Amino acid sequence: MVNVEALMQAFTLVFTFETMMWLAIGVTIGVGVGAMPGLTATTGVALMLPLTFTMDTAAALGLLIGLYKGAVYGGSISAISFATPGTSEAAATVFDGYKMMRTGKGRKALLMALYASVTADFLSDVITILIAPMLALIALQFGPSERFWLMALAICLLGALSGAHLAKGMFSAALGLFIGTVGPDPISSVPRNTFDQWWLGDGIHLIPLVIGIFAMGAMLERAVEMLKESRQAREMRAAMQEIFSTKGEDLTFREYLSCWKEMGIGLGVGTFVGMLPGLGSTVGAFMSYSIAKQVSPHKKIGTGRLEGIAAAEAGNNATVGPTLVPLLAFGIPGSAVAALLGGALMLQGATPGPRMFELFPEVVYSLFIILLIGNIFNLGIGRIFAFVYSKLGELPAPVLVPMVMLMAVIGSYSFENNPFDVLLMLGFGLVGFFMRKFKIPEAPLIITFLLTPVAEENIRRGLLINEGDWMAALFNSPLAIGLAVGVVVLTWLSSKARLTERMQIADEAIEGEADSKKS
Amino acid sequence: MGTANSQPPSWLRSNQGTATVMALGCVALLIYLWMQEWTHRELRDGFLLGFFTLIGAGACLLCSLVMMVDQYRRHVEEDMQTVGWLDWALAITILLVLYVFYEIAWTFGFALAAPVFLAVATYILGARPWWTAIVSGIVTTLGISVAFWAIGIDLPMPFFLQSLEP
Repeated sequence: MVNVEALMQAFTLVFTFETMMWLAIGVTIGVGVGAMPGLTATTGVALMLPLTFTMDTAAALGLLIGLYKGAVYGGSISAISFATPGTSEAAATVFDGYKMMRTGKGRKALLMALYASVTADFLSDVITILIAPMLALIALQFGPSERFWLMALAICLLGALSGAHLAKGMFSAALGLFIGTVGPDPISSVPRNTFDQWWLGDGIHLIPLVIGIFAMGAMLERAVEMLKESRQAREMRAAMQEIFSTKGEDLTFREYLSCWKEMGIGLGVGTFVGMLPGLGSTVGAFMSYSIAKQVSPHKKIGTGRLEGIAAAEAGNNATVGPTLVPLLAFGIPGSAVAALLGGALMLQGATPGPRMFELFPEVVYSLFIILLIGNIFNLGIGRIFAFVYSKLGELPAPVLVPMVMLMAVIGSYSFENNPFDVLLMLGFGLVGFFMRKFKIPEAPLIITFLLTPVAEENIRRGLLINEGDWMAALFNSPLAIGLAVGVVVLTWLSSKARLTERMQIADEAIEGEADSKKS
Repeated sequence: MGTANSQPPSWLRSNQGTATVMALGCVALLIYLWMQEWTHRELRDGFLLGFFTLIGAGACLLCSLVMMVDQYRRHVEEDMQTVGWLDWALAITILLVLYVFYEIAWTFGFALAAPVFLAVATYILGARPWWTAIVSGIVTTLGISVAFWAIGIDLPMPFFLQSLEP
């Protein structure tokens, strides 16, 4: 049932100059972030997160969702332009995109990537808007034990699916659980796990953690590499000159329509993958690409075909909206960016979850409207600036790295004007550096960190209701038992399927192919 | 999970070696936690205050132990093949420099500290000729200042101007 009053309120919140401006800025920054190799959507959103606490809710959502949408599309620009995916989700686009660029059809490839991204993104957003409220209604029927097991299931899935090595994914989730217990306990507010440091009494905030792990960790890695060698920039410039010496032709409407089947595959796969915690847009892109290739072998996808770009780009952008479904319906972020968006909502005082539909319907509707109109901004800004953005790969890393580091320091301080947040962020930067080197996925850490207090609160509520009886608190309904069994079965199945490992192998194959093309 | 390296990597770089170090760290952490009074404190609802903390640290240890014995134990991640003490020293130095920048910026003001930091860092990281580093430092500082001003977040002023702030 649509709450008309809240919907009207959402329209008045979204269609203001401020929200539109931040949405446009978000998409503009996002496409740039995506186009720059080394920066990802997560890094961009993490850096922008502390800036949102002074904004209105709609403006904050506009900035972050715009940035996310823009960055997922923007990755294709550098993937097509110089076979260097700006983000991992664009790696599958390299197959056909770069081949088209080399044959003088780069403009056509860039436009196909844009149109496929926006089409699939828009349609998956519609599906999100239809599905999330229904799931939230179901989630409202859950008691503490069901909610606890649902979170345990999400954490196990995240750990299992977030990397090629199950133990590393689970280690990341366990570390998030440990860090999540620093500070006051969620029921009695008794401080714990503070290492006798008074400034940890309030716990660790999301902002220094995410900026440290994602932004500072990545920049440290790049800075250390650059201090050891500085050849990359020269090679990049040489590649760019070659690319821009070719003239391209536009994409016709008939060509766009001819890829309907691949966009449909991308939409279906991306929407499904986006809703599952832990998989994300990279898996969406590769799965969609592989299925499209198998379904239509006569189209010779992989030899520089528009259909390949359409499948890959539709597959990754179709995950953008659905990744918010578990967050909105169950309060469980399905990806690192969803966790950050959840963090932004919490900063605004609206805790994501099924109750949000009752307590803050205007915020939910605002989010839905922004999801939809963000695509129009993505289309416009992407269409006008795609060719300018492809030059962003030229932005030398020596300029980019100190800039992001400086933003990280200011961002972590400005959140609460707390110098200890800067120290924490720098410390987590070192943790992030190690995790990147040792290939431990970061997303499970952040998501488990956010889920830990909620999971603890639920299990303790269950214990209180059942007068301290653990068995009754944990398994008080068939659904709770089913979810507990699901934790065991799904973890075992996902570790056997090793889906993400296959994706990584495909990714390495692409890189190898791109390198051989370049040479 | 393929690797490519002409030299045999040391055991410490393998999953097993690194996981052993991690497991030792987790054991030390668990011992520390076990010795804390708050870990065993029972709350009014009968819940142990340190229960979830111990679960977290214990799960870290368990995962490290699994890494030591699973089928990838001899695998060496590509980045781990080349990482050395120099990398760690550089990373820690960069973090220290950033903290020094933070202290200087909040003493002498963002507008003075940021262009100097950016120009020096840009130059050290390889920007040439030298004047491009200076220009990029000034332009980036201006850009960040304008962006934060637009959002309404105050950047630190020099200490001698702080008394003028409303």
